[in-house]
Amino acid sequence: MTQEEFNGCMERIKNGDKDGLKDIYIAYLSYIYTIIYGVVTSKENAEDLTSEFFIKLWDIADTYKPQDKGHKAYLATVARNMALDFLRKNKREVLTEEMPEEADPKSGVEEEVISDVGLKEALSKLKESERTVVSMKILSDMTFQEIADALSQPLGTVTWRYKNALEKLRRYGYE
Amino acid sequence: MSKRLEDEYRQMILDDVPDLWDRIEAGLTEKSVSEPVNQNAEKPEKKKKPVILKILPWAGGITAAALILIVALPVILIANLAKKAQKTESAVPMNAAYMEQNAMTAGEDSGADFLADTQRNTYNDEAVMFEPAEAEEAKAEGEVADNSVEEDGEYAVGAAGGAVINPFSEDAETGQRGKMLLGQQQRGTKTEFAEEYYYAVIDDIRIIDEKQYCTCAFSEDVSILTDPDENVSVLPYRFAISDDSDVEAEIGGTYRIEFDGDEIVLLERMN
Repeated sequence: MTQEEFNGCMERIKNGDKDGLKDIYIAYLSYIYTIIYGVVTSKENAEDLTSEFFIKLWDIADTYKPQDKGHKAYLATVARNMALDFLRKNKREVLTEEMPEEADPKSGVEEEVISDVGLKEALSKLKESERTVVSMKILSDMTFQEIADALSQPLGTVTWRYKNALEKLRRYGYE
Repeated sequence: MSKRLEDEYRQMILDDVPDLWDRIEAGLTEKSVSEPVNQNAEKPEKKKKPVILKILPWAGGITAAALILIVALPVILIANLAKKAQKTESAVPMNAAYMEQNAMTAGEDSGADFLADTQRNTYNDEAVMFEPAEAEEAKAEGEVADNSVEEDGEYAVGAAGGAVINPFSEDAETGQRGKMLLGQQQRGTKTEFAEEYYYAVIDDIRIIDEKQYCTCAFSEDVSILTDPDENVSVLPYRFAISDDSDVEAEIGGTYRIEFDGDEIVLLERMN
């Protein structure tokens, strides 16, 4: 979708035309969902937040002004911010889920057997904290600093976790 | 076997992306087509309020100014009218008081209201209007009047306080007084007696100490003296008739005269 097409859709939304929103939905559903999923790393939460994102886009269309960076970056920023807000609100729950994994002594990369497994299985071998960093970095296209800020963790910790995650995935044949 | 982590990861997520449109559509709030119109309709209302607020101070100022004008103008007009009325009212009593005071002064000193006399003896518009007499002269008149009232009531020109003046009594004022009054008249009346000659109607003639005296009515216009409709009064003073007169004095005669000292010289008879 070009910038002009996107602007046209936003104008249609302003006039209450739902088809304008549906055109954006068809074009950018996967893009928005992936970004959100990369932050929240949960299918259910990603679906809820993605739905909320398009509803919010409908509501804010009246005040929308064409962005200098392009509409795709604009959509990504809005989606990422929504996901990060959600993450901050549910931070305590996420940390609680992380603790058992952090304490698992068998979670070291060296101890894993290299085999030809699927990505989903390979990702499941990562710690939750590592999976979150990988998702944010790959799916949401966030910088390490943005990830560190979003997770309220030191930048070094974030990069170290990302490096460990990639080494584990490499053992499963992913580069 | 090398696998592309990023591509597979994205594809894996995309494969799991559910169709969320029904949920999204259910959560959309209706945007009616007329909503923009309604917004436009609301805008003027929003604008009206500040406009009214902006106008109010102007309206307040204008109203205040108008009220001040409405209240102040009548007050100023009334005040001006009152001042004018006060001036007019105060001027009349002042004149009246002045004249009354003069009359009282004359009356106290001489018993004769010379002002009243002169007013009664007004010849006409062009004739002599006399000022109040000086106290001394009026006093003499008053003293004389008492002696002469029985002798000749004809000369009892009404005086204030019942005093009567007989110009032919011994102590009565002579023509000098009349001449002085005429001189005053020359200075003080609208008719300037700049002429060398006057006209006089002799009202009475008496001889005192072998000198001929007369009482007269004077005017600068002979027609006034000869007009029977004109009510020309006789001055309550006696005038000595000069021996140098060209014509003989006769009661009822109208003469062109001139003054020679305190005497009158009859120059010519006019009737």
